[in-house]
Amino acid sequence: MATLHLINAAPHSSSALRQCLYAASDGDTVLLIENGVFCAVAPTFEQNVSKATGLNWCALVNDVQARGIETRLAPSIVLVDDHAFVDLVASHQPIVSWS
Amino acid sequence: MKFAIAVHGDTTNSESPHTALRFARAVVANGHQIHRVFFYHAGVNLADSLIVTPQGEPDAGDDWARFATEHGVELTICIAAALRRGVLSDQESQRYDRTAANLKAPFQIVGLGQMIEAAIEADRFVTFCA
Amino acid sequence: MTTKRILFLVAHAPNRGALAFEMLDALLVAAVFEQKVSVLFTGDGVYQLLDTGQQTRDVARSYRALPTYDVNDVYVDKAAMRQRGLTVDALVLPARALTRHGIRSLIAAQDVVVPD
Repeated sequence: MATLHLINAAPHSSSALRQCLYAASDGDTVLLIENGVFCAVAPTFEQNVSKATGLNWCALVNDVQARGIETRLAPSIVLVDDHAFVDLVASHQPIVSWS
Repeated sequence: MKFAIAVHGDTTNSESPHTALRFARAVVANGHQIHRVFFYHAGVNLADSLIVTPQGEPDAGDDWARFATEHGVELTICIAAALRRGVLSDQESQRYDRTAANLKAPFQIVGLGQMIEAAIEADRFVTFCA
Repeated sequence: MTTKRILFLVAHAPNRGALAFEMLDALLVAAVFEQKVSVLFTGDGVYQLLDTGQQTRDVARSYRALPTYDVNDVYVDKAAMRQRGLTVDALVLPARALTRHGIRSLIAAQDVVVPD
């Protein structure tokens, strides 16, 4: 079963994104939550993430909307709601939280 | 499916109490069970009954208490972390000769063993970091 | 009792108040519950195993006791060590240095990962 990674920190104020990218395996899913959704902002995402092509990228819609960045995200980011968040946890193991 | 949820932050330095509660609500709405919610590190502060939240801001401790009571969910805080941060039950307050107890119902003070037990018994263990 | 594979993931530097000790406490409790416990130090977390030479109780001294709790699966991130100019002999206890591939395999094999 693939791993689900949660990132809750913004890309430049924390090493969470970098550490997650290093440790994640192809086929894993990364869900960006809280300030972690800032990792999904297009220029940041392209600069830091585009090389890691084997991962699925999601962002929690509640946190994206709270920060007003819905229109600024990289195109490959899938927005998920809380119910889909639960489904992601149910279909992955383990769940790794990066902060 | 049984879920165990760990919360590491409090509302002064983290969104984790709010994110975790939204997740917990969705777990129940999706038809799953919550085996236990375990508050560790600063998360124990959610059980502090002395906290006064400014008007207009959500009171995470109250929100968790209401959710737990409504759905019969076990809310636990680590005793060692709680003592460090001044969240005490009547028993601990007497034991350590403190002037007050401030544990908010229905939070329960437990040992770290309950976190490990939750990791063992639940199908999924999710941590919300500070 | 079921046995789960539980990995404690230490990714932050020590000396952040009680947080490092609280992580260690959780690890020791998991060991007492006879679970398949392992611990990985990555990023600045590798500094938690650096022998400080201090006489007072610090995280490094406490981690030294892991083998007495039957926790022998202690891993460090090879790249993180190299980036910080550390070698495994600078650490307070024997640790296996993992490559990126090793870290990915370790995580994928777990039931539960506890972050610090």
